[in-house]
Amino acid sequence: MTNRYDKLLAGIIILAAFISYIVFIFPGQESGVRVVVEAEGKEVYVFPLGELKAGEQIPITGPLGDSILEMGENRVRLVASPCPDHICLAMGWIDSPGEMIVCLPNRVVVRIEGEGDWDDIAR
Amino acid sequence: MAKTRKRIQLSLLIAVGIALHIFEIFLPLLNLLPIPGVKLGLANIVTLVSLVFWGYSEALVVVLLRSLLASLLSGTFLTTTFYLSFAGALGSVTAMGLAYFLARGRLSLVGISMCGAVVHNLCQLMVAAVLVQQVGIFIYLPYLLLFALPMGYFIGLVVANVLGYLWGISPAKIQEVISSPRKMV
Repeated sequence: MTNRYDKLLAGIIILAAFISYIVFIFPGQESGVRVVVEAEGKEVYVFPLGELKAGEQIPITGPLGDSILEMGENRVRLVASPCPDHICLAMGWIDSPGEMIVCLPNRVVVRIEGEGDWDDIAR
Repeated sequence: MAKTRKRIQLSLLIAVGIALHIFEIFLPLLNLLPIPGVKLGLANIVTLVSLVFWGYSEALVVVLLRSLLASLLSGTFLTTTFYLSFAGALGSVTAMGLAYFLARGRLSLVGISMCGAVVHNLCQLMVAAVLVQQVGIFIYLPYLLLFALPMGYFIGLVVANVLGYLWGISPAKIQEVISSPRKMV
């Protein structure tokens, strides 16, 4: 049913898939999903989600004092905060684009940005 | 009389296309894979049959009406799904038309339908990229290209059998028939 031109075509398509894999996916992972940390409305840190060192803690300075951001494997959370209600700590780990942790009293926002937001639209 | 006959045949093909299009929406296969846009492309059977049976302009009519009516029936008219399927259908019929008439019978039905499947996915991705204003959606391109191969192969085999049945010849002899030169429009 198939002839050599079909096989040639299939070969070209597989090659094209391979090339597009290299072109679109390799650089995509670097610039892809990132963690954005804002304090008092200004961006203070941005780092790629894939490059977090698990266990590392970073202080984020807000009006009340330092909120401590802890890194996990491809996820982040707040572990300590000077705010009275600790709602931000209760929010736990966040790991996918669109998710965020907000600490209103200390005016700290940690959010995950990047590709993946359009998954539901494409479907 | 011949005109009426053709009109009825076209309508029947469009009806079959709509049925396949809607049947495909309910296939659970689509939800098992984490990649959006992977489809069997069953409705492409009808597109390719009408392309070989009549020609490009008839196939275009079949595709446009099928896409439009199926979206009306499934309630997706003028939604993202509709634009995606419309663009894909338009792209794939044009690609298959070009592959069929320019390759002058070198490509078999399987090759032609692979062309259609690949361009179908390409067009969908381009429209999706415009709709969501994100070039990053092209990370799905490699997977969609790879999936186009087995889907195209399957559709090509089905079309060979359907045409063999319609013309009353064995599917193996289809290649001789479609190798004879034809006009595109």
